[in-house]
Amino acid sequence: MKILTVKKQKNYRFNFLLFFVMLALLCVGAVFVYSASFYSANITYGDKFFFLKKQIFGIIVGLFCFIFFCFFDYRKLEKLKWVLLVVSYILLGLVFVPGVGFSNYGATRWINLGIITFQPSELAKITFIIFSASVLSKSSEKIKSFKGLIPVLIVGLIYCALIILEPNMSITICMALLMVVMLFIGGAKIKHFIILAVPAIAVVVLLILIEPYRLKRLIAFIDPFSSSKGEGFQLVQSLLGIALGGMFGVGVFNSRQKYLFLPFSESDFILSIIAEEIGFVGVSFVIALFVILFLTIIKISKTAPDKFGCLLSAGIGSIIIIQCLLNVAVVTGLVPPTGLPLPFISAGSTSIMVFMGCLGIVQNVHRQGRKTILN
Amino acid sequence: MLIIFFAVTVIFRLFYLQVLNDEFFIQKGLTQWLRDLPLTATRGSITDRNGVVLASSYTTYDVYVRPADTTDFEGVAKTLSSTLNEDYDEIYKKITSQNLSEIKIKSDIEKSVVEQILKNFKDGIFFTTNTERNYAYNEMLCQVLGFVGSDNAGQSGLEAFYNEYLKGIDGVSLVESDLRGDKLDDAITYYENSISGLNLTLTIDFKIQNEVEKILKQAHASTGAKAVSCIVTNPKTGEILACCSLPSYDLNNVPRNDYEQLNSLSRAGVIVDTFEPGSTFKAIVAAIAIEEGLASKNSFYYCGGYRIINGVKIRCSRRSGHGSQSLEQGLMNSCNCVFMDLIAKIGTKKFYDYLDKLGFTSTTGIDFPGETSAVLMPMPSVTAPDLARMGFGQTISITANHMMVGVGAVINGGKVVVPHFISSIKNEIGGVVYNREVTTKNAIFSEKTSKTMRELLFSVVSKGGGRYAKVEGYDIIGGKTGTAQKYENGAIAQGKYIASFIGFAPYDDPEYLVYVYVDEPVGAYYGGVVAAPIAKSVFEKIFEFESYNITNESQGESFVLPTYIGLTLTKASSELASSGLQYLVQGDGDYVTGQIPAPGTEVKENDVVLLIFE
Repeated sequence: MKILTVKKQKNYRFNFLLFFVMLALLCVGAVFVYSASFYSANITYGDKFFFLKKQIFGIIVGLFCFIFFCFFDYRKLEKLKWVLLVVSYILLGLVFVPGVGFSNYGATRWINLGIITFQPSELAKITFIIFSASVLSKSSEKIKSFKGLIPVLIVGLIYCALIILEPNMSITICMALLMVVMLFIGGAKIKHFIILAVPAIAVVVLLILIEPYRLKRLIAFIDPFSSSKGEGFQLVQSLLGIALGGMFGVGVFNSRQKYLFLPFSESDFILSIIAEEIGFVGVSFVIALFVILFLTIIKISKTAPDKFGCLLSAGIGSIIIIQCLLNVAVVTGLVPPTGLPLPFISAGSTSIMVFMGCLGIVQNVHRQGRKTILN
Repeated sequence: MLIIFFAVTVIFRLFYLQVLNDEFFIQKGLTQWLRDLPLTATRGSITDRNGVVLASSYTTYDVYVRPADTTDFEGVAKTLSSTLNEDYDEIYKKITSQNLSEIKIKSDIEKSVVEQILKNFKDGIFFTTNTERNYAYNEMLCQVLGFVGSDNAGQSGLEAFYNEYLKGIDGVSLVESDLRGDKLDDAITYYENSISGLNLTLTIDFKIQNEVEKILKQAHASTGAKAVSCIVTNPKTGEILACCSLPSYDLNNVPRNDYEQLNSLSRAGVIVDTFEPGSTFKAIVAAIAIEEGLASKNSFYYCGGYRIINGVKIRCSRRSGHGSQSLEQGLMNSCNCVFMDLIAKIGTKKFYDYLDKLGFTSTTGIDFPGETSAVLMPMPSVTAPDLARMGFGQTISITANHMMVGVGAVINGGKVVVPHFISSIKNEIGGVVYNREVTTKNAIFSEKTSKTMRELLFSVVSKGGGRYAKVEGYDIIGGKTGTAQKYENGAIAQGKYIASFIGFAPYDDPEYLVYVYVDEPVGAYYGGVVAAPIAKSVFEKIFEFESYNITNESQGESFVLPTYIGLTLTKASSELASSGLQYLVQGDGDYVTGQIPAPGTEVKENDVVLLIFE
């Protein structure tokens, strides 16, 4: 009887707040991708609009993804989880096949699709959310024991292993955090986390030791000005930009740091340019948008018709806010630099498309959700 | 909840960076956002008192080619080969075969050549500028002028002392640019022009300086001395008119590779090195005694060849003694006994008071870096024999510069004036920024004392030990000779002397004070024999420039000089007197062993013959 009333209402429910916050973030992104990149794009590619064009293309494809998933019953994703899992593993593996994989900045993270490059690790994140949400929703009792965690751990660790080989430390960290969050909201016990933490820390230390550049970055993070021409350069440049912005910023398009001073100003470090151009007030507004988006998604997850939908949307909300806050923390020098895009804003079409598709899924959960929260 | 906490944390961090701490970062940022193109100020020039340029700065250009900026390599090579007189093929090869961003084609070309290149200018050619310091007369005045370093800052001499005035203020051009230094399209440029350095006008008189350099060069060769130095000043004003020490070095080619050599050659010894002046110092002792009423022109003393003071036997220059001596004779014959008596009368306390008032215990205040004060024994430890030696200028070590100030005071009416090199400082368009005035520190002798001293010292040159300084036709020079033994490691260095002469003219109203000292001459070492003739050459030139009236025509026929070798002093002197010749004595022997000029030389009446007793 209850389910029936829910089904009656589902077809005309659309969460406008979610949609408009997403649009707002995309617009901010497009403006600042252009502002941050027109100078360097002109020098590198001879086209001021190089990155903006790619971004708009990503947004358009992303809108299709969004609309598609709005109407695509999210429960079908649960059935597709094994297919998705295998496909994402294969794609991650393909990165290493010569001729298919595409290297940039010393790492092989992309698959060349001709017009655009595709980053399989972005797909891996959402696949992992779907898979773990499915596993954890089925076995709410099993999860209380350590054994119940094992499938999620195995799938997650294989992802981590493949991504770290690219290498891509930051997405690996994201994936690991996501694992923790999924297990947590799935209902795992605290003591199991503690048991897991010990080997995890050991692995992180090992990973830092095998790639010396990570240690250098770590040192550079502690005192960026000691190596302001070397390892600490990017962080110093980022901090300079942020500081120059002051309370209200130097004005849109007026950033000084984009004149080749700040590397990756259009992607991972775009927040520094935003902070410089629209100041503390503007950047707080952008962060507020993310928090509103997150809270909206959490609210939706609470009204989800089933546990899978709940865990799925909560997972999506978590990955968005984790990536957002991690990115801000990196750009402001709170945590050591890692290359992590700011969702919806940083240049990078894969990231845009995947996140927009994710919000489509959340929208679909919302459409099917209960009218009131029954907790 | 956790998420909200993290969100608040990052917002706090942003607030801290953007609002609370932004000054620190913005200061750091400004240095990278603006490219700083220095506009080097032109260093001021240095001229003599009449505007003869001694040191000046000029700009030269280096030509480069930037291959990335051109495709027309033939055109570039053609323009450059025709204007620089270089081989076309060589330039073409140079700019096409190397994988460099910038290729230097030629250094130090002049502005006219740059203008020629600009007439046929091709893309890819560019220039950089250098400022070079040029010293018009190479070695001239090298220790005084000093030199500049590669950064165009004065490193020694007047270049260093007046660096703040000479250097000017560098301008700056700040251009907004990207990381690579490329100017932004709509860049704002902050431009501040450079201000040229100020020009120094020295008190140095180029004409005199030039002659002094020539005379010393000759004297340096003929005496075989380690070093010869000469200073010419105006004793009334303290203006330094000429100052030269040899050996010297080329200011346009500073021997920077050999530090020790550079250090010894570039030292302005006249100002920074002390030595025992010897008998020239007697002029100062005599003046003190007269001023204090302890002696007059007609005081008499007895010289037996030595004095025994507190059991120490101190010998006179003439071992057999000068006999009875007036003060005038004592100065003329440079009798040590006379001055041992005089200084004993003055006493240590009063003597040291005078040294203090003369400025010997401190610096003279000359506008030059590294000036040293005199080296004096501490007053309480001065014994009577020490004081006696000070009477004839030993056991006291002073700079030539101090000597000039001291003797200057003796003859200028009693005033201690501050010596100086600078006359005025002018800006680029000739406006006077600073005009040096005469600075008098103390008046320590009365005009009366000074007048007496001038007359006494005139006698020394006209008929005493300074006769070799006399310029033919002019009876207007006063002066005193000196022959000081050098000390090395606290003991007398055998055979090493400093021969000196300090003289002035016109003697009744001195305008020029000339000090010549020869360090370790080979052979003859008496000041009156070695240094006085050098001073004579200097005076000769000065009189020529000043067109002083000739005071007495030399008359008489020239005749052949006979030999005096083998005669006693008494016999030789009476023969010389009957021929109308004057004489000087060197050595302590009983019979003449040599004579200058040699027998058979043509001489005239009143010429001076040096008799050597050894």
